[in-house]
Amino acid sequence: MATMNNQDSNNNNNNNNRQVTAGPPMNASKQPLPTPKTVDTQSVLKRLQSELMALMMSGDSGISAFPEEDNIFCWKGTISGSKDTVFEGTEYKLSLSFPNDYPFKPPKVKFETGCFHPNVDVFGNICLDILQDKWSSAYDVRTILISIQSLLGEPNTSSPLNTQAAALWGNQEEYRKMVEKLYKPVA
Amino acid sequence: MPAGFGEVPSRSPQRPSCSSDNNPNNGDAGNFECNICFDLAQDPIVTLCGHLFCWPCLYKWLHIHSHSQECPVCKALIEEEKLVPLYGRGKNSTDPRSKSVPGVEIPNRPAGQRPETAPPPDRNAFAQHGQHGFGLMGGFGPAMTASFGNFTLSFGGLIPSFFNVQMHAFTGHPMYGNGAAPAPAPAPAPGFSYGGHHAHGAPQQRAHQHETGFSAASPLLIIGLLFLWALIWN
Ligand SMILES: [Zn+2]
Ligand SMILES: [Zn+2]
Repeated sequence: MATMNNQDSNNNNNNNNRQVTAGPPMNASKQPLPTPKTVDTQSVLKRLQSELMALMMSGDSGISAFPEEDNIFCWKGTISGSKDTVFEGTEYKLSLSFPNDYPFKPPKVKFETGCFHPNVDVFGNICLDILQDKWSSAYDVRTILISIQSLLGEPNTSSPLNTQAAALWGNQEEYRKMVEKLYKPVA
Repeated sequence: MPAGFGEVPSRSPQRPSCSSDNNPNNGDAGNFECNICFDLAQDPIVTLCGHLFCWPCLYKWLHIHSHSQECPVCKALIEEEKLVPLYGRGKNSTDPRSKSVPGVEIPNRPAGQRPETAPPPDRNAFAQHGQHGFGLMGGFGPAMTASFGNFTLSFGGLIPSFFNVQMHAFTGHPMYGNGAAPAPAPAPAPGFSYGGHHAHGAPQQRAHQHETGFSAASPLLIIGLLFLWALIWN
């Protein structure tokens, strides 16, 4: 986030910040103005804001995301398990935290709801190439969430984070039971 | 401002308008948004795969953050010398961000690669090219159209009709492709379907593309006329 060490930002920054608040209450007006050193922060804010607008307009089913109340660099997302997968009927909360050089670097994405999945570890870390070395600055929150949603139904069992889940994947009936047993929806 | 949630009912109807202010996604401008910052492209640049970016955004992606030379959208190989800048009408804007990235010097946007100026569509072109053998073919079409519009010029159009027989011999020559057609020309086949020994092949067709409102039947007409005159003059 913007650092505290410089207050001599100009009015332009100030005006741009106000636009950000068109959405939900965001950090911009509470935080100190971005310093000249982090002018890039300005474009990150702008891009996140435009992603938020697009997400609200798109009405994608099964995925949603919204910034946390006081920090537009931290979002909470939800995805629901796709139909005809063992995850059907379950819903998962995720956290996305965006670096200062987003979208050149990917956000850190974690499951907040426990997810019994070959590519998700017990801490909610996700092993997904587009969130690591295959990241592209053209990806956005929407494509991330859609990718994770399809990862649920199509795990990569050859290099699992959760070996137990990977081993069980072959038996979809048992796997479904396990998902139901371990599923703890967040209120 | 952190608007209170009590305002929500009154704010909701404003959403479409505020989104159009801040996010041109829904309008035509969506086609001109940078694929990296999602904003209207500044110092716009297009890859060979057709994807649009701000030059500073693409530069940062290629040189600072990515260790591959891939298009962020489609993963196509990006060769910097093949990038095409977009010059719209108006000011030659410089992206303010390009100056203010700490520790990063973003070079000027690559310039457009300008092909040669197109030959003027008048008789001079024919006169000049007429002395240079192969170049004749480029000027041939325009000379014909001039003769169509003005009978006094028809004499100029007559000469090519004699040369035309010679031109046939060139069509199989390697020089034909290199010298006469800098751009990929349409396949010669349709040209030959005009029939007779007056078929001209690709260069003829290309020339006609420059003439708007010049119907496909017209070349036949001219060719017919020229052919008649050629007979008379002989
Ligand atoms: Zn951009
Ligand atoms: Zn591309």
